[in-house]
Amino acid sequence: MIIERRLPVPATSLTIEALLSGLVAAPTLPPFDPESVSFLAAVSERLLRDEVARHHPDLQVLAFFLRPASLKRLCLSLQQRLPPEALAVPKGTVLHIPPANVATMIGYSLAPAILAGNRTLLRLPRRLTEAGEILVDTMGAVLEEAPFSRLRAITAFLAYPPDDAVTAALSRAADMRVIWGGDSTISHLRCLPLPPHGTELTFPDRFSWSAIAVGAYLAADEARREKLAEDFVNDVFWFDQQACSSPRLLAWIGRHEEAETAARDFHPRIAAQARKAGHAQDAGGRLARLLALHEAALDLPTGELADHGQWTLLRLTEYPDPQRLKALAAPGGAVVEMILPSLKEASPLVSRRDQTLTHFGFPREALLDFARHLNGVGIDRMVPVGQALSFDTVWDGIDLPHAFLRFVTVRES
Amino acid sequence: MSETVEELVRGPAFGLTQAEKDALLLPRFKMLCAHHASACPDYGKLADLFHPGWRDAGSLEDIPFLPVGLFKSRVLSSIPEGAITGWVTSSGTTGAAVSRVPLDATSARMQALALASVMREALGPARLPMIIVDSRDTLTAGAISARAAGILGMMKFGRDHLFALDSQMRLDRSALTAFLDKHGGKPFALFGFTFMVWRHLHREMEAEGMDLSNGTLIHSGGWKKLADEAVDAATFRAALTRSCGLSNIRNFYGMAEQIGTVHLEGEDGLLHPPAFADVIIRDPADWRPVPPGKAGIVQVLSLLPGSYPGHSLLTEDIGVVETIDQGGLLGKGLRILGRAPRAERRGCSDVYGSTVA
Repeated sequence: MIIERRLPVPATSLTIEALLSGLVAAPTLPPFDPESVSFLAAVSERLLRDEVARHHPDLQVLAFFLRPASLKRLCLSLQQRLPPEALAVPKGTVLHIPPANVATMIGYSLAPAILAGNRTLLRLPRRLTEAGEILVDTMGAVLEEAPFSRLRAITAFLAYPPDDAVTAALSRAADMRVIWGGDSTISHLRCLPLPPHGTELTFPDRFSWSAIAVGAYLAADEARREKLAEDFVNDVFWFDQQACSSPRLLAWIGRHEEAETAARDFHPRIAAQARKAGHAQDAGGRLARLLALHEAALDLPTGELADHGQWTLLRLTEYPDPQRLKALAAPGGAVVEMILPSLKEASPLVSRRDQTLTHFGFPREALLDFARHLNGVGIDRMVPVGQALSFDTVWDGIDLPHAFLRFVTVRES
Repeated sequence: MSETVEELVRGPAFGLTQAEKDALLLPRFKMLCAHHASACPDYGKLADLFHPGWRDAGSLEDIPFLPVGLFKSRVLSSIPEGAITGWVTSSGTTGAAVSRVPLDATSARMQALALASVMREALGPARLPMIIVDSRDTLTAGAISARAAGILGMMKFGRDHLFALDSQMRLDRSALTAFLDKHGGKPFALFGFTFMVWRHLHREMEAEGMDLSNGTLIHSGGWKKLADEAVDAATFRAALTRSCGLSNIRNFYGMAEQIGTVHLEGEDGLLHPPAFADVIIRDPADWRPVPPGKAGIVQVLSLLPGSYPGHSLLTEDIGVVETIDQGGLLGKGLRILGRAPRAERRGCSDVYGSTVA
């Protein structure tokens, strides 16, 4: 089986056997090796400088995440959190299967694995977005530079048409596999075994939502409400509401009449902010949204539906079937709304599928209480409205930098 | 319900001005909406939610519409299960979801009458000898496909049928020659799907022509495949005239979800909804109707669907109404410009592309 090794440049075509024997013979790096850190820092610097990359806000956010100060902080915090009597070592060879459409996930998935010193096998999505192309090209260009020869020897970005035999061979050689996939992709790839000691990280389909404290909203001044609408709009519309952390449900937490007042005030602000941000769907997207909303209206206890152009509101009158609620996959601007007296009353909605809860107006203690009350039933992330899409190193409940390490116990006599 | 429809279905299909149509259709569509709202609770719920105030509709533009894709994921029926006499299933590419709509005896009869009224316009009152540009095997291949249903529906309007393609989809020249020897001197009819006509009739005729100049070609099925080859309606016409002398060519536009409703191409090259149907073009930005001359998403209305709420559908086609009450066929003159691009999933949930492997 011949596959294309696109990185390091120049691209080469070779057999899987040749690829794997070469790659696995090359030694891994110690965790937090200066070579890995300066490689990621160089990628960051180039992305921040590059004229084209600067037009991609998602690449800029990634570049910010990879800048030297942030990497240093990450390494330091990891080193402080190591188990006692332990030496951190890399897992070995990590096979990454990143998402096709949120290109920057390549970076977020790769960075902690590289920092840990692992070998990298990365299957490139069949079609990369423009941002994805820029990212891969940038990594390729940096990797070519002199100081990264050890990293170059243990890095392979691969392009091959869908072929289970190839993915199976790569999986057999991997100490760890990372799949950012839809549920069906993950289920399918699960049939391809890892070595007995192999571990796996999967990032399946998720559902995310937003909770606003009614009292806090009504107490907020004009500027604060506008800012909240702007942040909410960014969370919803960036990635066309198709990221796993894009909110789909907006829960107003508080007294019913007050919540009505707050919602009436908030809705036009959403539409105005969406217009201002220039979020517009093409005809295909609008049709897909309309169809998804028709299905949702039949599946969920819908009391009211309001089309505000850029976005559509679907108001629930009672608890929906959580599974049906979470099947809603309308692109770009479909928001289900519900009024609930307290965060705890939202627990019947929560399931393992829930990832991010963006919030406004809740004290930390109230959020902690809610998380304790749920006790792992669902929700991996509670972050302020506006941060839904910003990447955290703890993702889907997993401390990513840790996940790419193993720990060798060394106890003195 | 069916009487008020029958009156329009039996009349001339293209003899009403748009103003006359508007006046006749509005009360009938309001009645039909009310019928579906009470007979199909899901429809009633959607109409109330997405089109509040529809009961007071002041024009056809206020009549609720459903996205046509809904019939792919849901069964919507306005008749009791016992009354269902058959199902219409849309053709779809392998693996893609297909639409399914239930029929009862009345709607099936109404569809036949409706199709007849349009075909009278295209082919004249007499049944003509008919060439089917397809293989007879299409009719017997497993479950009844939309293509087979379309052929069977059209065969009723002809006689002495010839299937021009063999089971390998090759043109059967000797059978065609025999047909033309017998019928080619007088008017005859041809029917086929646009792409089949192009690939299997035109291409063959281009290599070695035959004289089909007394024929009237009725074709349907969409331009998607031909658009990939940069063939539009005008190219199609000119090419067939050149390759086999066919000049009387009528396209029609319709869909499985409104089976029996045929928008017929006039001499102006535009598609015309028959008397019991209409089209409205909507702006995808806000779904408001746009004026003639402006392109948008095509909504099709037809009084035929009584057994399921498919009487007003928002299609996925982009089109423009170019004329009103001009030329031989009265009413709106529609041009289909293509299909709205499929929405791409951009989230991290569709990670690996559509194919899993």
